[in-house]
Amino acid sequence: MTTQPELLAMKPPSLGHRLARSFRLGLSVLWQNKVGFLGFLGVLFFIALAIFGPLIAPSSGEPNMAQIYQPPSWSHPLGTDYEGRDVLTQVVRGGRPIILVGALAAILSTLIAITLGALVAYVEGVLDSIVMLITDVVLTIPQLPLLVVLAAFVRLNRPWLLALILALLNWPTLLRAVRAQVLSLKAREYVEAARALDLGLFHILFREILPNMASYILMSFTIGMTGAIYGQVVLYFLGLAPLAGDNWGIMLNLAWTRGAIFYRDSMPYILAPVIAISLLQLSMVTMTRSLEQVFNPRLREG
Amino acid sequence: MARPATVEPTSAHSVASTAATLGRLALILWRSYIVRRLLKAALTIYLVSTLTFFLIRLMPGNPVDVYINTLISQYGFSYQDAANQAAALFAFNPNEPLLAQYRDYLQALAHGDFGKSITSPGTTVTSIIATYLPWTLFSTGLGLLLSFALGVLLGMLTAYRRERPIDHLLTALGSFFQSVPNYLVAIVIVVFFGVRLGWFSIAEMRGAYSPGVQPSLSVTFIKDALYHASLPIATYVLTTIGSWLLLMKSSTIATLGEDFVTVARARGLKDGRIMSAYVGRNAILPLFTQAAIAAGFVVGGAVVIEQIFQYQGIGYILLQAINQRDYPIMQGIFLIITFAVVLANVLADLLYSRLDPRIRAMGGSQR
Amino acid sequence: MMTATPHTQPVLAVRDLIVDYQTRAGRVHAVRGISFDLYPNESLALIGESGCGKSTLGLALLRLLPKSAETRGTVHYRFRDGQTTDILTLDDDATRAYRWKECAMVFQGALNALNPVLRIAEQFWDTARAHARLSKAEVYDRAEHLLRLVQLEPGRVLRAYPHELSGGMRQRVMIALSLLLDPQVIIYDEPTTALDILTQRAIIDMLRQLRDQLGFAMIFISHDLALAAELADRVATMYAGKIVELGDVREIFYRARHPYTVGLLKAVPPITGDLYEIAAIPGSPPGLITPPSGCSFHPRCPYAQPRCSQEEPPLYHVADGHTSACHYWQRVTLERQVVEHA
Repeated sequence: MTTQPELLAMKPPSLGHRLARSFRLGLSVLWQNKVGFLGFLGVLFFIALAIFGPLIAPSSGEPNMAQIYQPPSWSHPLGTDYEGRDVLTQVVRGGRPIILVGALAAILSTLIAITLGALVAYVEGVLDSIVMLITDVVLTIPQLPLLVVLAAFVRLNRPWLLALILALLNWPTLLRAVRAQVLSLKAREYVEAARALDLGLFHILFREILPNMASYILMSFTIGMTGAIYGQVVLYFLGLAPLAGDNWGIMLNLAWTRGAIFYRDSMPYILAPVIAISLLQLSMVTMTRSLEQVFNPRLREG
Repeated sequence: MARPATVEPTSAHSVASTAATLGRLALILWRSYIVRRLLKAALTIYLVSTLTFFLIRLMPGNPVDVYINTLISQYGFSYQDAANQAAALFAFNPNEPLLAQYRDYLQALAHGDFGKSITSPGTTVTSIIATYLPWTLFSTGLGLLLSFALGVLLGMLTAYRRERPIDHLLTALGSFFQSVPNYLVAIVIVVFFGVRLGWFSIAEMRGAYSPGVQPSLSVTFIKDALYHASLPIATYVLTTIGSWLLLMKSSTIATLGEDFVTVARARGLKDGRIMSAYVGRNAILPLFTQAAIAAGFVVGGAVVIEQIFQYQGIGYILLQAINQRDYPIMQGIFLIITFAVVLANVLADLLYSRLDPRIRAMGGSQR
Repeated sequence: MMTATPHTQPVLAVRDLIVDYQTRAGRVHAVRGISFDLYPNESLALIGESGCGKSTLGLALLRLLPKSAETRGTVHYRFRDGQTTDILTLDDDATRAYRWKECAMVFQGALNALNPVLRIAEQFWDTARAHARLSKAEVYDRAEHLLRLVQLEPGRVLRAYPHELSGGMRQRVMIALSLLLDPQVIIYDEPTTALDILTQRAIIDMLRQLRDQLGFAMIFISHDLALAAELADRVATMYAGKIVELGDVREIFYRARHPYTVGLLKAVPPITGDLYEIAAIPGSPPGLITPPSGCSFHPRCPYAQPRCSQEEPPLYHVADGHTSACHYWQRVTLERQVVEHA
């Protein structure tokens, strides 16, 4: 017969506890899937680059017109750009703005998707129908043209503005997925129990349902970030976002418009950001895919 | 001999019975999947048009006001004249109150009037769209078809040769090209294969067709068009084939495990027949909804690719219009692209319901 | 009811058939040395619990096992012209020709046995076309005839898609399809499971009629001993991948000589009364990765002796055409205590 103190001691695992457990589980299964683990390492690398890059290479240097489009050499391992500045420095520095804005956009879209999706799935009814209708409509609008047209109207001189616009494109898909997941979780026993105990809407949402979707949330975040990076680079490349600074997208734009494609020696200048962005996207996608396999065992190859 | 006219009382009874019949009719119509689908499409088109309208009118620094201000400050127009000019270009009248403008706008759209270009005075947006849209449809359409066909075939191949080297190779390649952003692939094609290795002449391949060649249905023209479209098509195929391959692979694997495949083998059917009519036809069904969605977005996705290859399709023109702040064209193209998506989605849904006899029987999917 | 005479040759002669699967958990010995003969126009029942390997046996006779399965032994099939061949040695084309034309199989639960995107008529045509050069008219004529035999309306059924037919109808279509090429042997895997009682009755009667009319040899696989009583000439009970008793249906029902068969018989409730106690066989069937030593039934056997766990029993001769794989078969009796209803 359990006594009062014993009952109190039998607290359910805290949120932090559960998150830590999922994290450890995710890591262990990622390790089993080598490719996904490589992707994970790649992501870690780029995060480190984003944090430490601009610290290692504080500035891109001054223009030096005598050194335009130099081929790779010891002093300039990746050559120089159209103004004679070192390309490698720019590559090392250029990740942070893109990754930061990408992360910000992903956070925004994931937040919208989760709160709205979970709420709507839980409450159902008219609110659900309206939100789903809006989502369907927004989903139908092709993203790239929308992005490009929006960028024409809004002056994107603040990073958070850019992030906001990018987030606007991602949330419908995420919201749908979140909603579906919550709908299925709603039918589970512990949620029923919570409702029977009349624990209140927010308690149920935030302490019962959402922690079990931690993996899902993580995946939504990475997918959102991939899309945000894709969109960002497009905007910079097309010149629709302000060309202040030297991030990878701006590097691409400058290389393309300043004729780097025509010189053989300047190949590293244009290919460097291409490879950097590609590797980043690749790492994120492979990591996401193996996370998917982890959390949805049915996807694992039999 | 004429019958004496009988006065028919509009009693509550007959009104009620009419209502009941209409109600029943509506219910029958609602059960029809086609009608539901079309209604949803119409609603989407309406909502998007409305969205675009308010976007343009209500955004800070909205183009109409900007245009009017430019005319007033730079060209010395009076407000009234500027407003009238804007009215002609934007297909609605800024003089009128907002709701009236909205009504005019919708009416114009319904008649296919998208306004006139600012930078090319006198040209209607509709004519511009008509000139350049076919090129995008041509290149992306071909790209989609090729990508789908090849992807499906390769997907079946990898499913049949599961876990063998060819499977690993194709799956890896497909995933790789899927993950790398498509415009980066395009850039690499231009920079590396075009300029560095000199496999083809980029300058020559610019544009939708070579200057001097007359658009017609002649073989020369078609060959020329294909030549110019080859790089964009190659980019589409490379970057989208992966998804078809993976989808078809998993679908085929699932189908191979079905009972009727074992029974087909028990019946002594030839492998080829089983592969095509039993496995293939069933495995490909779920892919059609995906293809529908892809077909819709095919037009929108061309924006950056056309810029890189300097291919004058609707995406190229959209960017041009953006750079030139030619808002009527921007709006028109955006609307057309969205309508294309809606239309493609509807068509594909209907196609899917016709292809799968089970859904046909249920009178439409239970989605 | 045909009994084997010295002059009749078996249409199917299985000797020491062994089937192994390689799975993640280990090597599964699904069929562990089975031998039997099937004579023309006879009906043989293979009875056993689930997991005893009977379905695997059926699939093996058509060579439909997945690539991960290893088959050993011989299965001699006798064509109508008298020639025999070991079907396990046939090449791909010959196997394909053998399937359905010489030996057909109706699978359990025909819910998904037909291609969903083809009409029934096309599926008949597909089958015929793969084996012979016939015109569409000939095939459809025969299909109509066969569908009438299974009490279906040809006009409606031929034009339909599989999902438009009920489960029972689809099962009948499969039976009709199995007769299309006039095979000598038809294997029925659980022909009545997954059907309702009334349909079961109809199918059983139909199968009996068909066999009388058309004269093919039938193997039917089931867990239902009562079914054997209705349809079989001979019964073989299977346990843990082996045949443990084989004999004429009357012999088996009245003079069963293997503890497992007796257990199965006892477990069938009588119509005339109640049993004193629930007569289930205690324990559960063994896993086939490491079957028990000696006689695989000994852990559950009420007659077990030390010898049973050490020495695997061969099929002892009990009577004419009746064999039993039990060292102590002489002690085995069938005693059922039934409380008769008034």
